[in-house]
Amino acid sequence: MNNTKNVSRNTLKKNSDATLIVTKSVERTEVIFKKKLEKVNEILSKTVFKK
Amino acid sequence: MSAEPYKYNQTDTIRYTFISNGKKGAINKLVEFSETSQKGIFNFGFGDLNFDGTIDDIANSNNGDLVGVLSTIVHILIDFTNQHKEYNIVFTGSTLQRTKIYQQILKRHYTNFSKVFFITGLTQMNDERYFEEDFDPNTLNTYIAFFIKRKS
Repeated sequence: MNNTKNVSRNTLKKNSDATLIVTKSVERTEVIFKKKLEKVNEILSKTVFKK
Repeated sequence: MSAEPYKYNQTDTIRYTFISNGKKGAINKLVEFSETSQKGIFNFGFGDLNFDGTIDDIANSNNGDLVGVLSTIVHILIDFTNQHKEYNIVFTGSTLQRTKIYQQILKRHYTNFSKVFFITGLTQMNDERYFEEDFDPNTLNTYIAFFIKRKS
């Protein structure tokens, strides 16, 4: 029973860690995308578009 | 570009994911189309979702499957622009070197790409303004950014 509880706790912890890592990755990616978007917006603000 | 594309998922209206399988193993890829300050122009964002939290782009992933990744990206671009034919998609590299790589890819595959997309590029003038012009695969100039729009 105790072993089952330990396994369950370990599984939960691993799942929680994996979720946290993915969440952090997504957040970092969003920050990078946001910076790129700011750079693109700056370029577009100075752009003469083809008609 | 003959490699088979990876299977991709559209996770919401502007995001796609797929898994690149190469010599470094599986790398989760994320594609995001973000609306810019100009109406109807969406920025093409592309990044790696590595489990160690690092993020890279196509120039540095070095997973040995560049053609497969590019093929997938083209299919995603076609899928997204199937849903939004009126949108212009803009993309540029995070560094000048990466932008040059994008230009080389467009040049190499121009014959095929130009059958599906109108392609234009931005050149920078002395007064710091940028001018959009038809993409010239034979130009010696370096473009600052690129636009693609679906042909009907």
